[in-house]
Amino acid sequence: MKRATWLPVTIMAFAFAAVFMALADLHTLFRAAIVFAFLLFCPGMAFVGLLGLDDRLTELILAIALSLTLDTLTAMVMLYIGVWSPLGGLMALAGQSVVGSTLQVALASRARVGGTP
Amino acid sequence: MTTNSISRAQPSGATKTIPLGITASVVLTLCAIALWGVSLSQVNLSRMDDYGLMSVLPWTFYAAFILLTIGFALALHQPQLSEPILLLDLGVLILFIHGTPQLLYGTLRYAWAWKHIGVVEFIQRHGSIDPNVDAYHNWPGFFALGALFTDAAGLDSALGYAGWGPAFFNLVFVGALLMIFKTLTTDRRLVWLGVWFFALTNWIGQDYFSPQAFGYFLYLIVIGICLAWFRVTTPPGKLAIKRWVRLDRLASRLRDLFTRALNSAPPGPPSHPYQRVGMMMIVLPILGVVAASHQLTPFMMISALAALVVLQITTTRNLPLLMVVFTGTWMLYLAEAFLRGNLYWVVDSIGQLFQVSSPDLVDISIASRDQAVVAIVGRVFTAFVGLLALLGGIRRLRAGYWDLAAITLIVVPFAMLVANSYGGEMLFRSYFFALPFLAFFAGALLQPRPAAGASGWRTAATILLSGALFVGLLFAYYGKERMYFFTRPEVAAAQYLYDGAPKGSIFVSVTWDYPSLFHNYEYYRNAPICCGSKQILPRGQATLVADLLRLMKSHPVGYVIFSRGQRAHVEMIGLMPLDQLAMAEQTIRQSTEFRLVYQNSDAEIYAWVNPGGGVGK
Repeated sequence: MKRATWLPVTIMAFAFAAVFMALADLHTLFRAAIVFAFLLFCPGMAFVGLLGLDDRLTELILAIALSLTLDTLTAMVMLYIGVWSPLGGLMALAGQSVVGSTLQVALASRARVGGTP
Repeated sequence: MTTNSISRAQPSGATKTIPLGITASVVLTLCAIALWGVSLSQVNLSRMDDYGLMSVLPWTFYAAFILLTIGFALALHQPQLSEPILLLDLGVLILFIHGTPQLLYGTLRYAWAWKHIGVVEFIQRHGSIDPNVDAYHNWPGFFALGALFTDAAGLDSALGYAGWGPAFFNLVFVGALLMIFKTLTTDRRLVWLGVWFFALTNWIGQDYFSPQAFGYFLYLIVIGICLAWFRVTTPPGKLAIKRWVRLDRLASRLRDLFTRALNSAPPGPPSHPYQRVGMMMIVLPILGVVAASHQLTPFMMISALAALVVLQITTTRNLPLLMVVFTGTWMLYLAEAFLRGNLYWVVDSIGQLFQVSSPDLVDISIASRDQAVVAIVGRVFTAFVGLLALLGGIRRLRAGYWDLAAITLIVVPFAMLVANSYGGEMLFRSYFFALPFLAFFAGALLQPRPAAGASGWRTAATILLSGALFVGLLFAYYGKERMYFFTRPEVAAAQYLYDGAPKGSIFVSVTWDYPSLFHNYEYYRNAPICCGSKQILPRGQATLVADLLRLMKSHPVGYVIFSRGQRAHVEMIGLMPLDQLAMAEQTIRQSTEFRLVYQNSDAEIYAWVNPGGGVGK
């Protein structure tokens, strides 16, 4: 599987897994690991992946920075409008991760159709 | 070039062979990890003295570092770089330095970090903030993030992961620095050496679970993006400079400087306009989050971005202004409660150049003998880093590299010393913000210009200099661990207190050095009596009980906490003679007013119940 496909698929898988575990209210180390990995990498990677950067390390560190930024903004919006809901926040972040990943897949398939490598 | 590209570069049909140096480097790294693992099981923390963690680390720990350093130096000076190996070595170094304390203690270091857990827990409990509680509630970005992580992961408290903060933050700092350093030089060896030296000189202790560490990471990211994707590509004309600088000769000199700096800087990564738009879309929310998360970092950001624009290094002219707007708006509207109560001292501390106070700054004249040695070595170490950077900068200049961006990013944080004392901590924060670029120049001392091929003397010099820096780091970073770490009995005592004390209680301690304010923190008041505004000891020994009762009279219950960490703090810093502390403990023990309610091997808690009830705060 090409990177342009497996990366968005992985992001979506983590998004669904994180939301599912939070919905099921599992109190396990596995849930903590999945949710942490999702919050740390996925919201940012869903969009940084669209930029087509060559340097993987730079892409990863930007994804972490953007993920933490989007997580913080989501948490602060909930805090200031008085609707603190970690599950809701997680779902919002999962939603935007899915949007970003879908865009990645769409752009990759358009590039394939257009003949761009 | 990576090992993959090396393989591709070989003629077709040639066997893919891994260079001997790389193999040796990997073997050494694996041996280092094994030795480090062994060393963890040999540590007896109860034997720690005033030299801190290094007093109890076995020889295997040091041997592990030496092997790792040799492995790194070998990998660094191979004819062709293997960046995955260098990255592995850096990761292992960070694990050694920052993972060791966490694995040994199993509890959160630094008394003040416990309050950060308390703020996160406040948000978890209330789902809101209260700007009137303290400054943290006025810049809650990091704490909201912590609460989201903790709640979404199904954890009860951030305590479960916060201890890994230093390891995590140093890893991401390193990632951000790799991005920045690649914009300063095309020499990958210098990039890796600079980052390696950063890991070996970051002793300030601002990398724990805190808004500062979070803000610092985002600061580095913004600087990295600006330097990589928004670099000025043509020097300004003389006429453009003369619009700002009237003097003809000065304008010529400036143009000359900008041109030299531009010509010696590496080209940025190839980028399309849509990538630059994407980068700006990353930067903008980051600026907002920084403005909402920390008091100091926004000002560092504004200064650094403005300096980079003024000195014709980056094209992002509107970013400093935008950050001013974000910061100003946040302070005037969302941090208004804090400003209303604290504006007087914030203004008062402007220009207080020599007001320096921090747990990192020990008064050598009263500290214990070993702690004085630790403090002196720490200061010499910091000066040594500065000297290395200076010499490295001179070598770079002589090699024809005018590193205007790096020099600017060293000068700007120190210029902030004039702006505000930041509660006496500004000197340390300035060093922290300048450190990446000091480390870059320290690396340039050994590697001022790209040099191809293996070099015996450079390998040896890398090992020796790394060893010297590691010794300094051991003193400066690990040297106060006896008072920075907490045993499990100390944590158990604190949990007893915060789980069971009636709301409105006051917790009196000798110093602030015990796990506090991590749970229900808005309901309790803390009062260290050996320092700060409620100082009673050591002079008030004779009237101790009466003074304590006066302090506690408006609270339903007053607790007095004695603990190992506080004793270590008093002894190491020299806050008062140890016999005075023992006398105070004896006084409380014998007093009929106080009752022993909790005791274990490292802590005792005494309680006084207010006969009048007390209203609490």
